[in-house]
Amino acid sequence: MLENVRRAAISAVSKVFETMFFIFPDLREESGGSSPSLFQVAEDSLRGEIGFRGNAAGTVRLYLPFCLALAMASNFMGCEGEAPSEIQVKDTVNELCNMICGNLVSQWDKKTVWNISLPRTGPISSPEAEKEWTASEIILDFMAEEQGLRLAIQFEA
Amino acid sequence: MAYNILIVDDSQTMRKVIRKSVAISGFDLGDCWEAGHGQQALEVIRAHGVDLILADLNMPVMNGLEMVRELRNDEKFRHVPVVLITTEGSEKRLEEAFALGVRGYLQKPFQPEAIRDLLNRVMEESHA
Repeated sequence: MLENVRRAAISAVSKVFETMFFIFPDLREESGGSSPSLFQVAEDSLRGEIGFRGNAAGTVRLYLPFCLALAMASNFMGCEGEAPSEIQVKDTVNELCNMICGNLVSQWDKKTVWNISLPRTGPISSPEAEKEWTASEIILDFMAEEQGLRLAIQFEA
Repeated sequence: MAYNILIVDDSQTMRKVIRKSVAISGFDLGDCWEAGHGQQALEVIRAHGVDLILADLNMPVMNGLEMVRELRNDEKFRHVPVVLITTEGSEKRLEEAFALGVRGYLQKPFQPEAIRDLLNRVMEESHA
């Protein structure tokens, strides 16, 4: 099961980033496990999270630097000149999580009726991130626009 | 003929993106209304009347399918076509949506051309 979810997650991330944000994420195959994260927690780092429930339940979390989220919000909204507000940046990360999770579960198992929670985005501290990564079954590291970002999937027992 | 549309999505940013995508797609757009959930959408429809509704499924207060069910019970607006633009596309949920009379479905992420083609098809079928 985990390999199917992993493949669906990689496909969902690529599809969403490329189609809606015009950004081409590069998966680092050595990611996850004991490998060091390409994403480094900083004061302004963001974590978006969203829950899913169907034939399995869990949480998808996306960790990214604010500058990447800002660039993505700008591409997403087609901003010219004026930078997106902090609320718009967080709303963009919410929608990013929503699209990744929706695509992931649909690709993984199209027969199941999935219930997806409302996404939420906020700051993240290093201890919190470490704790969540330790509890996650799947971790994927990507490089996008020369920034590291991490996707983690944690299943409910 | 320009069509008045209503975009229903709990994300203000997504509503803006959909509005922009429809505007640049070449679809003949008239007035464009927005609502953050199904309940708000029903209020807009009853106040202004619209030609077409583009709705998300997963929203707080009233989700997309609940909104369609309510709309189908409204004598005046039951025939307004609804198109779903959503992230989740399980077969059972889509079957349920089409059984309720939803006319089309587009999975996010999408290209503006896909929106145009879908909306043009739905409006052509509505006038057939």
